[in-house]
Amino acid sequence: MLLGITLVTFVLIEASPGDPALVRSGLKGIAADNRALLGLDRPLPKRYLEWLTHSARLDFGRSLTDGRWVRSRIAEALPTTALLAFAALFVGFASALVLGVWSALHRHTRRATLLDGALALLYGTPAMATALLLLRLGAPYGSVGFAPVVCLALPSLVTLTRHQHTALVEVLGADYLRTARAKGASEWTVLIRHALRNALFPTVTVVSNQLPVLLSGSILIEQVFGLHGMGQLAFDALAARDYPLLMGIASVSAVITLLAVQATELCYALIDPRLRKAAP
Amino acid sequence: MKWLALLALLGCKQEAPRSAPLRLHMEAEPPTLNPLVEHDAWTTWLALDAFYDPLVRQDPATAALSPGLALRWQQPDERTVILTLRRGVKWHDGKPFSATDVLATLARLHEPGIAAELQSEFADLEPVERVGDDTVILHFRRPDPLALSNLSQLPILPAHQLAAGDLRMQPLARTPVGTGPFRFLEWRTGESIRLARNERYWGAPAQIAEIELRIVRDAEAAWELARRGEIDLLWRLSPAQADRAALPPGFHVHRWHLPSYSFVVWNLQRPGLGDVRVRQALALAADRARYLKVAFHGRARPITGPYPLDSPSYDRTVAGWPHDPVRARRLLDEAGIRGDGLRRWKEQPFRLTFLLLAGSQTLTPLATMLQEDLRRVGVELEIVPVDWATLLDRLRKHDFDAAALQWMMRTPPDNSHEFHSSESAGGQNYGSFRNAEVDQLIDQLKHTAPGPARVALDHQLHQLLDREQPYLFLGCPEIHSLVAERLHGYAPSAAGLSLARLSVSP
Repeated sequence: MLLGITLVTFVLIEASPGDPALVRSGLKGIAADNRALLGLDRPLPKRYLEWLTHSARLDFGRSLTDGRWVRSRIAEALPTTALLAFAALFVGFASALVLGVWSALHRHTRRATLLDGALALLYGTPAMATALLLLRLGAPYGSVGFAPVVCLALPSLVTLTRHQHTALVEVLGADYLRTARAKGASEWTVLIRHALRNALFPTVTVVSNQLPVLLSGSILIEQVFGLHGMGQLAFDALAARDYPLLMGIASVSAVITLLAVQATELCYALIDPRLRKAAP
Repeated sequence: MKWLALLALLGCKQEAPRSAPLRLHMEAEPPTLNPLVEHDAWTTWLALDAFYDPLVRQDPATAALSPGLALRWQQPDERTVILTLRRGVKWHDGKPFSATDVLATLARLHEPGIAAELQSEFADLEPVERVGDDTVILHFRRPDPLALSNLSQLPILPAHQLAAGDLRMQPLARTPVGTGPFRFLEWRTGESIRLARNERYWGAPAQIAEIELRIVRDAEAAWELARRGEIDLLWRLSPAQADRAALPPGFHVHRWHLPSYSFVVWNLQRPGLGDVRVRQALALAADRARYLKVAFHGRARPITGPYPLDSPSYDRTVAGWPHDPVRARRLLDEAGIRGDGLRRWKEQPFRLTFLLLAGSQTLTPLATMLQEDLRRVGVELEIVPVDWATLLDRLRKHDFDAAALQWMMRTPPDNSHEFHSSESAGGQNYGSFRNAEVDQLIDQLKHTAPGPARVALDHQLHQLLDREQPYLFLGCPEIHSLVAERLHGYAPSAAGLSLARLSVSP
């Protein structure tokens, strides 16, 4: 699968308009010289095979923009984005769990309607506006703190809350909950052990889908809060048509996404023991 | 609101004390700091203003020359420059500067990957002759009256740091070692570049001990940091910021002009646009006064030709084309572009594709207004916002009808690359403008020294370009800098932000 992703990415990057040699030369440039210097005058299949051979050894080559190793540029930016994305994912998931359960239990009340309205407002507020407001209120610039995490987490928090709410409402009327109550289980046990466990499936699926979104969605947050992360790096690489850097970023993002999918499978097994037994 | 403020402050860094280094705003991070390969404005500024020295320096306003690394110079004829180098100058790493460094720098100028402007300025330079440790003789294949002016734009790099191969891959690209008034301290990617005063500088030492260039890409975030006292200078405010009446406390606005101009280039290879009457009609249809008032927020001076307004080369007798849609329609009729509603050229609808850089706060409203004006005379303009890489690609392939661009102007003015017909294939003449009279004038200018004769030729060229309209000349934008009251000596120009002259009050 990874091979397919890299091939498609390579072809897409090459097919897109723009030329790194031109960007390097600028408005007053001599692009032909730069094309040869960058090795872009060689056939496309040859370049892809070379890239594949080198990247198998985790050598993604050098950036066309500044000549630095792609690996070290990614290593410089990845920790910031990883911290930001995982913190946002945790904040989003934890808050959504609490809010989703609360709103499901208090559905059809005025307080739940108020919460719905507040969530819709948060969802509709541009992340840029929230980020600038927090900056105005004194949020730190240049470090991963509360403000960038919250800004990044807000859209997923709202999405996950809605999913958690809907999933729990569907489960709350199920026959097996009535059976559990008849067997003398407390309301708390019914909610946590029987209802929530089943209602977590859709939310966990959405959480795994959120990771790539958070990785790419961090561009704006990184820019406003002055964080040097993967979003900003990808944006610069795309603007400069820095092929090796773009390929490196695409590969790392693909690996992270595939790992997230695997982690989701593991979570399913943890939530539902039947899946563990069913596994070969 | 209070709880929000409290939450936002969690994890907040302690504010730097006022004795911290002078902090300047850098809106974009340069790819490298090697001025031989990079065309980025910040790389050039830092090279000539901080890290390196050229052989001679030139006042950007008066064009007067003064000694740099060369103490004296002679021009026995128009093809030779003899330079006597300064003795006792040291590189930032302690090694002595000598003629070897001049030879090594000049020898690299014809290599692939070198910035195009430097390559073309020194295209006629023959191998440099060295006489002892402190004299070099430059020979040019053809008379070059601008040789010394070109040398003022060339920072001299240390020979011992220049290895063979791509200069972007070498340490000098990220850790400059120069002879200039500031030495390089640190580059934290995406965060800042720090410089310290060169205590062994051969000239007048810099006033400030340390400068931190803070990389802040978002203009509003930069304003906020200035408000907090974490940035002392925002060298270029956005139009919306420049409109604000309330400045951060302790700041004032400094207004100045970069010698640059905005324009719309027409692609003369495209149907209809090769006819001068059509280009004149488009100029008559455009309400440039309105564009400058609305799109440029009234902060641009109208221009009619490619010369700095304050320069003697600018011909003030050229009035430009007034906004006259009636005359525009008549000229289009005469050129055979006729029709009710949308006009047609040889049975084809007369539609123009207009490229502009996506997200530009100035160009977007400009494009809309130009579209309205052209529609009134029966010409349709399709606005196509593109990113920088696509814009360059399409310009180089001449795949556009019109495009909004901006050129920097140099001292003394040189328009050979923009308008000479030889530059239309692979050069900067993106509109493929070809005119024998213009070519002849540009060729004459190449061999004419600065002075009244050159000014007269510049005036002729200005008049010709106004008649031919290869560009729709718009204006010279005014720049607004936000400057802390404690900062003194800020005198920005095309040469940079005058870092060595900056000082701060205690």
